[in-house]
Formats: sequence, C-alpha cells, structure tokens
Amino acid sequence: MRIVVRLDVMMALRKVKGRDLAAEVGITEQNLSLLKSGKVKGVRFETLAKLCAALDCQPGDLLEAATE
Amino acid sequence: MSPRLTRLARLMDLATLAALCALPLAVLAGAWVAEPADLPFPLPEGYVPAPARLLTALAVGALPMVALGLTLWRMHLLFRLLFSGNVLTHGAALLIRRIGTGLMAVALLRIAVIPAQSLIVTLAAPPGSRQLLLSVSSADLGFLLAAGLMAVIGWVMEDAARATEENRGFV
Repeated sequence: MRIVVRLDVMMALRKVKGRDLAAEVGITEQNLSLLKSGKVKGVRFETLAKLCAALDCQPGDLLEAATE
Repeated sequence: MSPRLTRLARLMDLATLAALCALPLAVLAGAWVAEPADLPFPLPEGYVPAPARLLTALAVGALPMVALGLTLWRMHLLFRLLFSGNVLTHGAALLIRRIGTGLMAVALLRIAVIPAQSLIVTLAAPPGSRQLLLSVSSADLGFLLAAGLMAVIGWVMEDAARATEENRGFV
C-alpha cells in the first residue's frame, strides 16, 4: 500500500496555478512541485490544512491509498 | 546560519591551520634541543641511558602530538564545513564525534607516555634503579573529561543531524 498525492488533479479542477497556490499556502514552488510528484517523506498537518483551505477540499481529495 | 558563527568558524579554521603548521616544527625543535635532563622524570644517579633509548623515548613522547595533529586536521575540516553553511549535517556531526575521540586519545596517550618513557629509558639501568612512573594530573583528567564530553556531543549531533535531514523531507 502506498499513498498517492492527487494534488495536481485538484489544482486542475480548481484551475489554480502552482505559483498562486504555493504563495497562498506559504511553501516554495519547488516544495509544491515535490509534493505534487509525491517525492516527499510526509506532509505536515499544517500544510495539509492550508492546502485544503486554499483548494476548498478534504484531505481525502488530495491523498489516496493505492495498492502497489 | 548566523554571521557570527561564520566569522568564528573562519577564524578558528585559520588558527587550526596555524597550529597544524606549527606542530611538526615544535616537535622537530623539541627533538633538536632535547637532552636527558629534559625528561619529565629524574634518572637514577650515575646512569646514562644509551642514545637509542633516548631517541625511542623521544619518539614515544611524540605519539600524543601525532594524535593531536590528526585531530587538528579534523578540526580544520569541521570549521570549513561550518563556514560553508553545513552546520546540522551528518558530516559535521561525525567530525565532532571524531574530534572528541581524537582528543580522548591525546589525553590517554599523554597519561601513558610517561610510564612508557620511564620504562624505556631505565630498562637497562642496574636492578633496583629501574623505574616505572605513573602520573595523572588534574589537568590530564580535566582534558580527558572535556574530550569525552565532546565525543558525546558529537553523538548527540549525529542524532540531531538525522532528525534535521528527516524534517527536510517534510513539506
């Protein structure tokens, strides 16, 4: 089982640009890009909450557990 | 990283390099002017040790300097890492631990050198006047404790560097 990040899908649905989202959440574009590609060890609850607020969604919309 | 740390690391690096250059010169100068009377213990009356024994004792006396030289080199590497901004890294932590263990080796060698030298120099003396001297000063013990503390700090820093590295993977 692994966690897949669906941030890019939600961003496309909300028509939000990476630069704008990064600025709103308070992280760098580089970190947002790493997060989108799933190349991070983890997401802080604080960052997750800000992402959910900015994209008006639930954590489950951004993360998905997938079988390998 | 604070500019104060950068400045201090650069200054300490220069001091360490100067000490590294001065150390072999000091050892050579010491060897050049050394005489039997300079030994850190009194010789049995009327006993003149063979030059080879004195030279061996001198070489044994230089052992802590060798360990100190190696430790100074590690200090130089650490200060270079620090002023280049690599503070909480595994490399810096490992160097701190190795500097600590290096200084512990220096402290233990300093304690062990005098018994070894006394034995080497007086082993050919007539029976009854051979010596085995043991001497531990409060300065030696203090140095050993400080070195041990530094080694422990190095271990703690390795854990801190690991935690920092892990934290960098979180967004």
